[in-house]
Amino acid sequence: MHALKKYMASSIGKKQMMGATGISLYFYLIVHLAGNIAMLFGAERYNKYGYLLLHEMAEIIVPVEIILIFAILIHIRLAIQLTLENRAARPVAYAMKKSNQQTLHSASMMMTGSAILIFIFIHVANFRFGGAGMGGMPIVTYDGVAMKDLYGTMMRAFSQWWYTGAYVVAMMLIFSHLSHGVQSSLQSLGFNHPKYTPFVHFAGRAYAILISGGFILLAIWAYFQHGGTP
Amino acid sequence: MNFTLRVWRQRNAADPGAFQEYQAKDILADMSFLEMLDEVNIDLVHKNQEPIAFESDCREGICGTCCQMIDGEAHGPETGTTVCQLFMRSFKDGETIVIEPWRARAFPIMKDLIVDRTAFDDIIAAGGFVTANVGGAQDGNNILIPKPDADTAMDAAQCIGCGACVAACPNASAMLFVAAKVSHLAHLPQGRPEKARRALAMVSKMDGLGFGNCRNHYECEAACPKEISVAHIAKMNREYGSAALLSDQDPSS
Ligand code: FES
Repeated sequence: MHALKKYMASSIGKKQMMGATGISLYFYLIVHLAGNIAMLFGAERYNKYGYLLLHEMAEIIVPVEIILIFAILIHIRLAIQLTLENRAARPVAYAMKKSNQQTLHSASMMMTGSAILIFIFIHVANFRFGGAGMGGMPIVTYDGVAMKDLYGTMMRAFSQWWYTGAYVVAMMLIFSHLSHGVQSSLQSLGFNHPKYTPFVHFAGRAYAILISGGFILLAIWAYFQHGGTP
Repeated sequence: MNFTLRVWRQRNAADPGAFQEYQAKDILADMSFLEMLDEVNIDLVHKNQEPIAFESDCREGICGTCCQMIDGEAHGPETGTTVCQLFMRSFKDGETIVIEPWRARAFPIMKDLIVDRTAFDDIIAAGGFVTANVGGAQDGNNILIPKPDADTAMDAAQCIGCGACVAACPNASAMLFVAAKVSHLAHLPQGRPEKARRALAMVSKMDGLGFGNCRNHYECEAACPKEISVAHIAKMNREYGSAALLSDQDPSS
């Protein structure tokens, strides 16, 4: 155990933990996006999907949520620690410094990450915990089973242009974060191969576009439903 | 050619330091950057002023002592080159050139453009070697090494320890330097038996010296005068991960 602790305190151990927690989070996003597609099939289908997750599959979903919370906490803690250590490593800044490989995405990980954290708080309050901050969720009944009207709550939220707009901005931040994060996580875990690395760089960017683009398209689709229940 | 130089002057480690402007006049396009500074220094000596302190040794791009941040880039604007191999034809006549020392907590400034890179020696001393006494040079093919392994090891072994990777890294991380040695020796049969111990000892030393953490910006690779690839960093990440988690060696050893 002592050795494990030392590994986690080392610079490489920290970046590998950062990468591993990042992978679990961005892998979760694709599952989340796939689930959200259910909304295209109408209120009943989507509400039943939500009910399925929180009631019939709670034995799986709750542990997964706990793992994700831990992953986020570790990711945040390491981000803060790495940022402070990196600042201390260069106490006097250069008067002039050019970048040749650094991208806007890689340079702004801390900023996009912090903004995404705020988004997660709002998003989880709004849709995971019964419409907190949005006046709660009404109840609907299908085949004698009462469940939360997640679909209606979502449609009402996204019928407001500013809500959809803010959501799109948040997804763009996720795009930026993943653009660097996906390939960075693999490099940290030691995956670099002359045959696959160029593809990994491309695939990382493609994955970022797929995730953020997918959520954005669904949000815009929801906006054009004008809060109605088709 | 004529240039205006903005050079960092700092009397000693305790001095706060500041930029000073100098004129470099009648410089030939085929002079190296260091020869240009020599001209400026001769001028300063004639005027009874303190010459600009900078380091150089081989002046042929193999020793790694000529460390300068030129116009915000380690070793200047050309890729794959050291300051001594940078020529004034790479600059425009009349240009203003900003010259700074490497800036990193682990590389304290000693005077003007000279920094103390003892930290690199400490990392090598911690494990960047093979402990077996191998005696004299052996016959070339006594130990058979596959050509691709020998090539990869040679790519990494090209490191001249100049510190440009640390200087260029936004986080002042020494990962590329350490990775080059870990990867170099791990690719060869002579270095392989001790690879776990070596990776653990060198990384632990690096962490203790106050370098920053790698965040995969890859600025080091772009700045390296020997163009050492960040693939060696991934190799070190693998070596360190498996050494720390799977080998019987202790991470602090
Ligand atoms: S003086 Fe030796 S590398 Fe430049």
